[in-house]
Amino acid sequence: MQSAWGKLWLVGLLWAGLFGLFAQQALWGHILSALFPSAQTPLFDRETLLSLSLQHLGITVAAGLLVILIGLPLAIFATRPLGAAFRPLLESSVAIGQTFPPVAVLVLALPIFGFGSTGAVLALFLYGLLPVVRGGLEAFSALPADVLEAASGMGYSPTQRLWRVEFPLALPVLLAGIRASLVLILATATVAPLVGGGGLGTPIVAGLAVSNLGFVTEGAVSVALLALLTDWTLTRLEAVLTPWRS
Amino acid sequence: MTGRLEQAPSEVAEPGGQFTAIRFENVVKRYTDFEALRGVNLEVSRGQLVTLLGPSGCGKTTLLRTVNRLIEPSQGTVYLNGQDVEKLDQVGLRRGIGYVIQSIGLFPHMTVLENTLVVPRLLGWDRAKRGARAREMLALVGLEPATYASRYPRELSGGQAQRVGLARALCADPPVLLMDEPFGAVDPPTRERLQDEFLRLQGELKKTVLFVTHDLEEAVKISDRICLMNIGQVEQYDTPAELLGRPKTEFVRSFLGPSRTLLRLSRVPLDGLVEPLGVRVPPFSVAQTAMARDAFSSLLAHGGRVVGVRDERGKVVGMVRLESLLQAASEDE
Repeated sequence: MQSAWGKLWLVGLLWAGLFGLFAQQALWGHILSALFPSAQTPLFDRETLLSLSLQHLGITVAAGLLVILIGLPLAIFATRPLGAAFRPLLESSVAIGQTFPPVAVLVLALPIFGFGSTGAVLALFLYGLLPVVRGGLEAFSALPADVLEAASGMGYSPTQRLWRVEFPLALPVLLAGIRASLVLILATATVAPLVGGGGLGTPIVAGLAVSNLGFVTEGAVSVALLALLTDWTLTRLEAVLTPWRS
Repeated sequence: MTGRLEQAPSEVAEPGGQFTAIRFENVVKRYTDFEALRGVNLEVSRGQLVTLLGPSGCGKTTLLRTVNRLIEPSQGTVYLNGQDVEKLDQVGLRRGIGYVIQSIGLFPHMTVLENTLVVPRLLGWDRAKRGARAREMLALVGLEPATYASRYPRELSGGQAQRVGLARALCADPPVLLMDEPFGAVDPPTRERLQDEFLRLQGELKKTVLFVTHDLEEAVKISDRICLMNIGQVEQYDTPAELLGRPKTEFVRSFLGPSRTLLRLSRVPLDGLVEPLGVRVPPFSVAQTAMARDAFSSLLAHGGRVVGVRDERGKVVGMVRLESLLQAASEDE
């Protein structure tokens, strides 16, 4: 496993590189001026790009952690004999969670959580729950029956079987769900500024309001870069955590 | 081998006696729409290899699984070493029984070594002891630990995977093995090799083995006793020679089919049939250690009436006549 973590150095390097790029305020200014010569200030100047991207990542990580910490246990519970009856309810509620437009949830949450990132995190959590829960349900129901039978026959207790056999075998599908959820949250987090949540949506919303395509481009390109790197990071993580697959 | 078989009935004479490892007492398993087991009574003596033989759906696998409680009987009792398994801790019971299934069920996320030491780890053996034991087991089933220990199951052939399955079942040295069609999923040559090696191992280890198969030939080849089942009941429980020689019911007779005579020969060693060489040395020969069936096949293949018998150095030292083979096949009938 130690050597496996060594394989993740490239991931760390790319994250450092990306934030290094976000810190190059002047460089972004030059590029956007070249692209949109008519705009007076093509680069959003009320906050630095670095600070916006860190806010964005913060909201995403907070919502993502909530999704994992709540979604995974729910999926595990619903795939145990004890929680099987609960499964249809869980499936439909996460589906409803995703049919609610995040913007509507944001506005509805406004009176409860007020202005700030809490409402945004909550809305994104509801929105991102579906891929993780659905992935979890699928992962734990599609495990090879012969392996599970062998595990019980060998004398694994149900708890031991869950953690030592089922969880590792479910991991690829679980991670795929988490990846989908994180990318979804990351992209959708651009609506956060509507309730004062900050993040990379700020220049986009401002740019739309004042018809400044430079602002919009700044926010959109940065979100896309973050999304790509997040996706790739989880792909790498999956390869490292499941060396037993080809 | 035959000597041991003949002792068997006296060993089981006393119900639940100290020589009985597994005892089924009127075991019934009822599902909503059918009865899988309809009152099975059976005793398996310690150190014997007993096959549960029968057509699909006869209840053989169901019966096997009542021993490690993967299936709980609706009625009746299963005793393991005199103890009612229902009164034993389920997890502890299973850790004390080796279990091999047809699909093997190796853990794909564990290496061959990790797979092998699963039960010792569950039993809390220390790291060094269980590692050494697992390597020993891999070597025992013919897998060089240095080559195979760190491979993952997907990197193994079917035969190799089945060996790992056997090593895993044997690793904690359980006195009882449950094997559910363990060689059913490999190609015929590999199956035969695995059977031979398993027999050799069993000769050393003397486990009590309950072995499910639908393959009559396999059952005849490996069993001390065969329990032939049909629709949830025991049709006949006997040594292979008895079963083939004296089928008790019409079902047994039809299940054994016309090849039962030939099959009997596969249990007869050549030793007793060899005669001194005559003037002419037969043009073809079989090994001295072969079974009567091999000699018979050789005669059929070459169209002769006499087959030579060669010693381990390949020298022809005797011969077997077709007449003696036919007589051996029809004995006791």
